[in-house]
Amino acid sequence: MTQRGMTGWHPEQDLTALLDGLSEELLAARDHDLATWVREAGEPVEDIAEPMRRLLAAADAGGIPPHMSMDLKAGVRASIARNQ
Amino acid sequence: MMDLSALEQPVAADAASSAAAVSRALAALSDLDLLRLRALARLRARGLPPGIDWSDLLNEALARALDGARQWPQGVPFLVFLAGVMRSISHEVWQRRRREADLIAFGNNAEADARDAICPAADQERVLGASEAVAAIYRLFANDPMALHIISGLANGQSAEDIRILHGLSEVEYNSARRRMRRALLRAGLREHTP
Repeated sequence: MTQRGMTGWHPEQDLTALLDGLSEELLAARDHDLATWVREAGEPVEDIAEPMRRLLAAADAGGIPPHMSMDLKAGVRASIARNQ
Repeated sequence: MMDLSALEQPVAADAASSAAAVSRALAALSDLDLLRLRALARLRARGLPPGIDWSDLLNEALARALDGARQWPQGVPFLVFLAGVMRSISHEVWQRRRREADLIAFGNNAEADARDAICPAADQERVLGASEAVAAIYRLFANDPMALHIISGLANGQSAEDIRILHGLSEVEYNSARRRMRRALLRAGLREHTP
């Protein structure tokens, strides 16, 4: 955690730094290790990957409406779609 | 990860060609990369406002990459690019939340330069959410003191080498703790409900 007194603690900054570091760890993990850990967890890789593949395919087909809180670019997106 | 030559955007691209390259890269992701992407989305969704989950975050990142609103830079591995898009979206969600809280509190005066008060609601919500998310991540590694040292160092923005030296860890100990950490992260990313 940030090395300040509790009154100066900014957990949102800590969380951002932590998530950045942990994301790098996930990106750096080797395929061989990932496969081993998934096997240890007792789930076939394909069973977890298949729903993800469907989700990506639906996104690629434009079949998933954006979440209300995230649709920050809706106007831009609609404009691009109209002009394609 | 998939072969780097396939993963990286080979040339600088405009919005349309970036979008096409993203579409091709998505179709080419291996099963293991899909798992990695899911774990990345679940991780980055920690601390987001209630009601927004990892699949919302991932969907929005994909939508922006696929319509060219976010372009895949040359030389950047595909999953690194998507992880970066999710990072910036999570930041934007809180910015938007703050603007909405300002509008509710101040109405049409929300943008006025002369306003001398700041509505704290969205910030308090973010601080609370971040506190809980940080605590949940620490709990993931509660039984692994070495991993906790690394987590703590990462939260402080320290480099791997700084963390290793600060806690007197040998390279073997450090790398072993990182592997345990990655395994715990992946497993948390595979669960239906995030602890």
